[in-house]
Amino acid sequence: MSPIDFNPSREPLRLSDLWRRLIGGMWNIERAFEATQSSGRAVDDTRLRLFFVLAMFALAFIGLGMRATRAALFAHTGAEVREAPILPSTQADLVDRDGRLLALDLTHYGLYVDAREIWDTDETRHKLLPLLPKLSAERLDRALKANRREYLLGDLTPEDHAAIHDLGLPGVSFEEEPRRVYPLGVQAEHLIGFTDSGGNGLAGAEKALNAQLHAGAATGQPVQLALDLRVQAALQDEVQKAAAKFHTQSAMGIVVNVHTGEILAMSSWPDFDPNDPGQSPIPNLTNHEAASVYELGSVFKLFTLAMGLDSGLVTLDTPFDVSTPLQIGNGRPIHDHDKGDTRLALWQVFTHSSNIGAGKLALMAGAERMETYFRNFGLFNAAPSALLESARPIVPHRFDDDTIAHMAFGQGISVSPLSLATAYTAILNGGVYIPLTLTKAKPGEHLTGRRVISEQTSSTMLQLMRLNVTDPKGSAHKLDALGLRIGGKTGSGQKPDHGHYGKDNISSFAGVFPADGPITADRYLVVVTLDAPQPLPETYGFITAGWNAEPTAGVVMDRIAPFLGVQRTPVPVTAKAQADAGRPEEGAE
Amino acid sequence: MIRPIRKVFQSRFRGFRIIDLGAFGCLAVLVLSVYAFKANQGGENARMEDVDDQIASEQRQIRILQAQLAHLEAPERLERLAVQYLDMAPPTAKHETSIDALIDVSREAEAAKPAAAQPVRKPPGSGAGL
Repeated sequence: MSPIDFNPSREPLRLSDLWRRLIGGMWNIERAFEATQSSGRAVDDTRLRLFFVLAMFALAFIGLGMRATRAALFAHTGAEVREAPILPSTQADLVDRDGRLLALDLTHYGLYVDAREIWDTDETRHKLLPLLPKLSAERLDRALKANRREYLLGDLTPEDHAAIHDLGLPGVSFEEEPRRVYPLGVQAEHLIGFTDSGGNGLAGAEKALNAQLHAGAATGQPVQLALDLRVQAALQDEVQKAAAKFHTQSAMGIVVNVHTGEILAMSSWPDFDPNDPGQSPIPNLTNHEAASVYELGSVFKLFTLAMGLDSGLVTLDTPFDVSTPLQIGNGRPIHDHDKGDTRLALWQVFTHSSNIGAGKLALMAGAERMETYFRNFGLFNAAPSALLESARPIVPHRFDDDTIAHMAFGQGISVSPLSLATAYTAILNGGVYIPLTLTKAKPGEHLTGRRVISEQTSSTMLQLMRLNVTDPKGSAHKLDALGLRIGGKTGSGQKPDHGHYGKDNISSFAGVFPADGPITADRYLVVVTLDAPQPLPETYGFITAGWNAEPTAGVVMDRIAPFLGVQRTPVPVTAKAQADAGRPEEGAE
Repeated sequence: MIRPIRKVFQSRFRGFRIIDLGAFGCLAVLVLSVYAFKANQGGENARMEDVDDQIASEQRQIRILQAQLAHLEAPERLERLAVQYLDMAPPTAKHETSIDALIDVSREAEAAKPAAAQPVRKPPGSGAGL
């Protein structure tokens, strides 16, 4: 009988009613023991205690069961990373402008040996050594005698890893090591660069874009260069051929889109394998295009004439007396290569590559104007490229008449070919100086730069460049790339040797194509530089640029034109037309 | 209300109270189900890890294949092989023409009367290239 007045019909049910019902229920359960009593109070107490213990255990197990169920159902499973596991890498892939792979991280392996887990050291020794030629027997013996896990060898390829793993040797284990791999080997290696074993860039784009490459590793997004691998292959091939043919000390080339400043190709010889740069001599690792400076010679006349025309000092027809060498004070006299010239108009000073005419123009301009323009062309600073190798020029300490007269045709000032290409880009793109870039420009991207000459002067310089190829007396008239409307300028700077000019040359050719059309038309600059080319019978003993750098650049332009979408002017095929084709065009466009 | 509860606690089976047997049975089922559930989850986890390993392995293989492909498709290598095995040479400016000039090409071909069209061959000593 319940001591609590229990009335289920009472409505509404309140909390106090519920509590009373619960107490009543508990009381009834307890009374149930009472009801089942068979003998004495001691038995009742025992049963009550047993029930209590049972209830406690049941509660504990129910609690544990619920907790286990919760853990099983809702514990963190890491499913979100399992969906697309990302391989460990330190740097993003490097690809060219069309997405071709240039550099990537591949999983290599480090080999570890723990002698404490090895059953048969002789077996381990005899099976490991033949598979690891780079591993010395002494090193392995030391590891096998050590009483700890030892790092034995790194940089194992997946094939090496599989071969050793298949041996099933106890105590031999691996750890993954991401390694930078350059599948193209010696292609574009100076532009791409290389990294240290920790994945930090040491040279080229790897160093210039180090932060970008590390940031891209987390997302798996590649970093795209402006490089066009097809253009690069053609440039590098021709530069290497020229280096071999003319026995040069070094050779280099660059291809640039003059409107975007994109470096489409860059080559420097001698080369090296970026997969194992330590095996190459230090000079091979040098990107001569960016990191070496030279007196580049007459290619500087473009700057001198641009200065004269842009400042209104002269016109294309301004005459210059070149009949006698130009002597300034006690300086070295300035000569021309003997072409029988006595009086040249300004445009002829360019096409005949007259040192005297260029020197006289510099004297007319004066040191201050000359310095201002040359500084604006970026010739007094390292080329503002992302390439950290970009070398600072060697410039004169003072700008007296003798100095500026020699600077006018590229003597007394040493710049890198990259600086030269950057300055040429400014003159040929409408007059805006822009840094050359390693990365691909976005469509419609407008680069900001500073205006260094007027658009009209830029257009005139393009015509002069073209005239230098079409004029029979032009210094680039031997250029044999029909139909590409090439413009260009040769430069043969004497190479300093022990304080005076020696017999070797630095031969350069800067070519632009197509040189016709509006100033905003697509246009590409090719600069080829050969360091100390040697005379050959077929060059009749000459070592000037017209015999080596110019034809090399011509072949480069001929080969890369289809890749760049430059249409040729159709070449006539009839006998008469063939004869006409051999005749140079008249005048400038 | 009280009677059924009392009956539950009073009923016995071979000396054991039904309520005790029921509680023990529930406990056994609970323990076994938790064990089975955990064991099953462990198996699923192991399978997922196997799949992860497989994916990672395949990705490594893909990366290796990408690198090999990049090497094999390098323009410089294709060019070298084309010159070496197919005796190919870069097209010259004379190999390009316009539609308007086709008539001249045709006349030229008629005049020359070639026996058959010849593939472009690399002239002796000329440069390599495509």
